[in-house]
Amino acid sequence: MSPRDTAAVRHEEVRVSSRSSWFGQIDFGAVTPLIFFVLLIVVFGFAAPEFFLTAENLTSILNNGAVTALLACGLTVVLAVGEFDLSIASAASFGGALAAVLIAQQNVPLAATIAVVVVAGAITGLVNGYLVTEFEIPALIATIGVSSLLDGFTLWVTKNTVIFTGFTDAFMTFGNWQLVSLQAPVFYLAVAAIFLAVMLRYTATGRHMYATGGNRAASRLAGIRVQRQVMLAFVISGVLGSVAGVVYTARQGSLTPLFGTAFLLPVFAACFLGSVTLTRRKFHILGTVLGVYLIETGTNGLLILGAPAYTQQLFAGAVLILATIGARYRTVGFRLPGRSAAKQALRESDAESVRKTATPT
Amino acid sequence: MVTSPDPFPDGVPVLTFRELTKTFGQTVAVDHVSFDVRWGEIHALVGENGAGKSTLIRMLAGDYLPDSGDILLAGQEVRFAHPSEALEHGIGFVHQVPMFVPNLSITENLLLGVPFTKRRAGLIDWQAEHRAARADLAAVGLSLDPRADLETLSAHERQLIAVARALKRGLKVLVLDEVTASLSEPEVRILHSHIRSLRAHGVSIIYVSHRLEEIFRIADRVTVLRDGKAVATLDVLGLTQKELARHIVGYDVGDLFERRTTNVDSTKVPRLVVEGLSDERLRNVSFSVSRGEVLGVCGLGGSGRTRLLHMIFGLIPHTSGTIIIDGQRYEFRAPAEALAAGVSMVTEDRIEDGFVQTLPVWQNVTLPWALLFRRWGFLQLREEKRAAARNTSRLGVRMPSLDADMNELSGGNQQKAIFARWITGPLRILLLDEPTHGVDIRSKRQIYDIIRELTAEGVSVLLVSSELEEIEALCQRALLLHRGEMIDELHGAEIAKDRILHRLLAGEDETRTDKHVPA
Repeated sequence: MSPRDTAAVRHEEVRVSSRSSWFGQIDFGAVTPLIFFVLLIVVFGFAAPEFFLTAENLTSILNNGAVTALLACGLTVVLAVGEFDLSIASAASFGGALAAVLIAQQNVPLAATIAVVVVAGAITGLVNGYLVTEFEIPALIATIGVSSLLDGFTLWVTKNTVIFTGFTDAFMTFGNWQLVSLQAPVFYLAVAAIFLAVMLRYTATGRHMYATGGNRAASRLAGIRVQRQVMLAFVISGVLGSVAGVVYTARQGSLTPLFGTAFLLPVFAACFLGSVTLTRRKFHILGTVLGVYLIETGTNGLLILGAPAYTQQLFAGAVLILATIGARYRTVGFRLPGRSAAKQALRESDAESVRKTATPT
Repeated sequence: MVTSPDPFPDGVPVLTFRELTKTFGQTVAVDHVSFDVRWGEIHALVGENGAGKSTLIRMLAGDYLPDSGDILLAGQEVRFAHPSEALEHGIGFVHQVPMFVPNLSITENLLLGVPFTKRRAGLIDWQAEHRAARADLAAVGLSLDPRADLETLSAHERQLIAVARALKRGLKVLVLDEVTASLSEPEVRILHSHIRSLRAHGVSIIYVSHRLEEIFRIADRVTVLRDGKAVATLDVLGLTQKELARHIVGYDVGDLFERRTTNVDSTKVPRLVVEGLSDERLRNVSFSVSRGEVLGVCGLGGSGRTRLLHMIFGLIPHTSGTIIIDGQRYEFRAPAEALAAGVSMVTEDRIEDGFVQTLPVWQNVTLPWALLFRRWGFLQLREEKRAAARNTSRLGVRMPSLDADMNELSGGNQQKAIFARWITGPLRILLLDEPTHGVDIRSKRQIYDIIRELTAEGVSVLLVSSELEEIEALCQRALLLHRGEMIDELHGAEIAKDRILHRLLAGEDETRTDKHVPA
């Protein structure tokens, strides 16, 4: 054995680190969104200490972001299997509308209503999943189609009218109970987020979902039933989306048809922002929730400083774009964008691995 | 084999690399490399993965700018800032996977980046273009309809079209980068005969390949790169494969393809019995494999050798026939069932369907076995990671850490990590489809040792390989497949490259005399 080989052996010593691998490898760039989050709080705190840094305002941020975060959690699972769900906002609209009509106009009890909504959400997810896996329609197209169908159903069941009377006390309580000034949606979010985060990390299903999202062919050859993972992800997002719609309606105490549409872009923005938070481009629940609240904190702070309402959109858009560019540059090492994709790939690996990747295999 | 001597007199070499250096951060990828390429010679460039071949070629292509040093073309210093500039100077490139637009016609692909012949009113004269394309194809010995979509062509036809495209520009130097990696032996022969005729026309060729044996068949001289340095430039005439391997690796590796097989006890119940396996492409394939035996499966492109593996693995259904493992009959409907029964498969293209890029190394190792690490419904991550650590270190996978991305590993180590995956679960039969595809010498050796080690433990292996030396070195028996049919079974010393090729090509000639196959 040559000296080179003994050097190789040293490399081979494998360390099983006890460090958390929730996020894979943590690098400095991945905490940039967090640093930005803290910076936001500090800046707003200094700019408007008497309004921003109050327990009241901070809890209101938590309360206001909860429904968005619920939707975003559902979407995260679909993104994790490498698909797309543009119908999630319409699922929320439809879930809310269905619940409002059943409770206020058909006198159906709350539990039965929720059951119906859950089934409707599951069916939505199954339809999406079936179109994507069996008919191999790109998720973008399939879910736009389903989204339009759902919006149509929403207008149909609500007769395109705002519903604000006839809600039962049980329904109102469902969306408005409080514990230490935190409202119901926050707790629903906590349950859903913990459930999904644990599922994605600590169950075979979660692992198989990430594998499916990473490389479908390789996953299939490793015995993973990839279509089932895709199907399940759409069902989770359909159910969560619909239930989030009910929670929103109950909290508002009124239903405006197609209210969900306004959630679509913030939800996607939060998921993509979350995918570059604490990880390198991996969709995960903690990141998503942080993404939602980063955007929520920014818009809240801007409102408090007296900025006009449209700055919310500007803020969310700017944060998303900057975070994504930031994620790119931290792996690239703050160089200008390269000419070719091959070059880019080379730069993205660190110095040590440049040598290895320099030769195509 | 070395053919006709340099037809051009020595003088100024067509291409000179002088003290060329390129660094990436801390790493010196190419370190003061100097050598020259003569007019009309086939100059091989070899080295392990990471030795600097690609970086060197990319500098020649104008993809990277060198940190220092010069490139001289016919004595003139040149500096390319963009691949199109290299082309303008008469340096063409053909890569392992040629860049084409698959759903355009052959003509359109030949013309990518070249101005069209236009009629009046600025319209493209397609008839003239197709005519010209037909001539270009004829120049590389292809008679195809240039209107056909590129995606209808076989791998070697595409390679030849890439050569034709490069030649369209009147080249002085043609760089062939691993062009034979995905070709079968007869296809390699056809390509080589065209390369030789290019040389006869005065084109100098830089030939990059991992397959040492090819260097001896085609090259006039060879430059060896190791750790970014040019360690030697040698005449191929009089060089032995062993010497060349020593230059590449830096120490004596012995005979890479030394035949080393163990005796197999075939009296016991065979591990795998396949009887009359058929579908629309395979016809009545029957064989058996003993415990600890390596059975080679040889065939040309389209022989159904990969299909046979897929069928045993449950990826594609068979219309008739039986698969019996250790005396028990199985009917796998999906890979998951095959895996549970201890049948695993290493695919040819690990990036395409071998590993999951977005998961760290350890999760790639345990990918199919997550369920084995489940307690009370939850994955025991620590245990899982420990198993991955154990098996990767047993197979000597070199990696920054278990949490590293798969693309931080070299090709050979990626492949070893995939082997580590299969030894993590129950393993009785290992199906290998080109297991050393795009892997450097050191890793190749290690993979052969892994295969031998596994068979010593009783694992049975089905090995599909285009590299017949590999079959020679590892297999106790070899099946020859031709167009979905078994035409022969070779034992022990009968397994010799020449003999296998002879049988396969003989089968080919019987059925394909109508098709144009140059020497």
